[in-house]
Amino acid sequence: MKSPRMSLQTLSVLACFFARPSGWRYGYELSRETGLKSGTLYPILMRLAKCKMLDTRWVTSEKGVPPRHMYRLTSKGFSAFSKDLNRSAAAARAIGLAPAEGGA
Amino acid sequence: MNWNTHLRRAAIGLLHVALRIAPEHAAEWGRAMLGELPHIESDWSALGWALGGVGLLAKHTLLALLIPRQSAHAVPSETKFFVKEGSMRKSTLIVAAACVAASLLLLLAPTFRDGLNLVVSGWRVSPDPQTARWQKLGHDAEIHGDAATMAYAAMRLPIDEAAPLAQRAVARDPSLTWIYCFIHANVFPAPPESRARRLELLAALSKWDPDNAVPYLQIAANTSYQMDAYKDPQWLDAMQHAMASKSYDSYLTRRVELERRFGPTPGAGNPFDNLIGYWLQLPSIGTLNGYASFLQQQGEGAASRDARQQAARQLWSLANLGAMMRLHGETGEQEFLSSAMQEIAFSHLQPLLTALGQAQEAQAADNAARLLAKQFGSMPRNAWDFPFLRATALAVNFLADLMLACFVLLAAAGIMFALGGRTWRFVRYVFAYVPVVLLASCVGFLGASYPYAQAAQALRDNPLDFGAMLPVASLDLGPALLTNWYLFPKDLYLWWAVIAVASVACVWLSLRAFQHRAA
Repeated sequence: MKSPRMSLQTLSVLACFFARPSGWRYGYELSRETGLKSGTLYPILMRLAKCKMLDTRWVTSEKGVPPRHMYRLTSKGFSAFSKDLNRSAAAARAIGLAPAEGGA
Repeated sequence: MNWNTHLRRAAIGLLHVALRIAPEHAAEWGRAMLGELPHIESDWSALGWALGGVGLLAKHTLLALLIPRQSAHAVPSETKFFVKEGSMRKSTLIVAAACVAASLLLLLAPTFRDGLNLVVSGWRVSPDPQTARWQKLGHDAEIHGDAATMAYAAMRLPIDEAAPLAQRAVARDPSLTWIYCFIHANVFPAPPESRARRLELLAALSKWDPDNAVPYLQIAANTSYQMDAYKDPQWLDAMQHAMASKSYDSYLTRRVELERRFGPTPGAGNPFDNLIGYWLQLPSIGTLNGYASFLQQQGEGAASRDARQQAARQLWSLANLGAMMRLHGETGEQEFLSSAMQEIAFSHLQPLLTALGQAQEAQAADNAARLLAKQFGSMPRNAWDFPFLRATALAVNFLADLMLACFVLLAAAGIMFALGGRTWRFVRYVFAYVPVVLLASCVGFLGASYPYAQAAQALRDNPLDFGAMLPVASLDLGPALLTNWYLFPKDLYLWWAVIAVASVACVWLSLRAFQHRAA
């Protein structure tokens, strides 16, 4: 499967996962961290999942509340993201996950 | 968290509706977005979240309708078109039928039909497919002794057949002698034998209307097409007569009156014939400039003052002929030539008058030449500027070709479908993509050809509206206008072939691109 195009938005989503590589994340949580709207975030998640860069699972919390979809970076996603570390770092800086160059 | 407010319920409702129509591969993600809704604190944010999800699901629903989804299991490894696949989605067929129906509905629009008629009339496979029709009309008119109809038919026939028919019409009604002005060989340059016939007719016309400059100008134009035509005694004689003429009548008003007796302007459907039909062959600007230079040199080199004055008189006559053409000419073409003719005459007259010691007259001639040059340079340009005209005419022709290619592909796929090949990949792809391309090309054609259809209407209302004739003719000549040899049919057909092949290639490549993307 071809890797998805690494747009800045895709990189910012990956950067969120990279900050906590083994953790499962919710869609809304990712949206808040990246500032992306649902209409932008979910196509990225769909592409990443299709390329097997993300694992997904459903979690049921309480009765009467719809199950939630959760996402985690796969090893493939991790290595793909690591390959472009410079860009990823830039993206991370862009979304405030890493200090800017020359900063504290 | 309170997720039972009206806004929250509206957000959930919207996503549920979108989920119902979404294809399965997208519905899972829709449910994921739905699952997040209760965890969004603000109601407005929840609504925004839901609307984003609705947009995403709507996009996937539309794509699924237009492009049947190729799941990894369904796509065979072969990339050939004529392999079998699963049966077609009903929704694909419905969308394809809707696109084709919408395209056919556009055919009902009069503007669309006008534009299409203009383009198709240019796709001639022979120089004049209507020759047989005009032959029959002329023959029947001759039996009934109808000279006007004979004249009408003669003006549309090739010169070899037109000349004898026109002569018989004039024998019945000498007042129709002016039709000799419009008996053309519809190719440029005309073959020698047809030029001889035309000169014979023009000689008769000049005898019938001896005071009119137009027959003599046409004789000069037909004598030679060369830049140094003024060295030909026949050309010089014809120009001498034209310059000495008392009137200028290009017979276009008489022709329009005759045309109107036969209903809608013939040729409006075939702009190329229309343009040629009304074409007045006049001496070229280059030849006239050469003639004026020749007179100037002759005058400056002459030993006697009388010879110099004779050369100056000739140039005055040329300027006067230009003025008569400007006053009585009925077309933009004549207006253009008349200005050029006057400017050429005055600019060559000025040094000659100076040499003759007529300083005041020389100054007046110089001023007149400058004024004409200024007017000439600032002549109102037609809104249909040539580069724009060429580009849009090519676009209209390309879109028409594209429509034709789509119809051919759909017909081929339809036949295969009827024969039971509904699972062939070729049929699937044609039904999936070609109707969309067809509809897009039809809509594009309607927009692009609209100004041309308007021009065609203007031409029907007034056949002498040369401003409208140029855009209308350019649909026919569009590709050939790129070369400046726009009267050579072989160039015309070569360009059509290039465009047609390019159109088919584009459709084919688009299909291949979609095929690879889908796979």
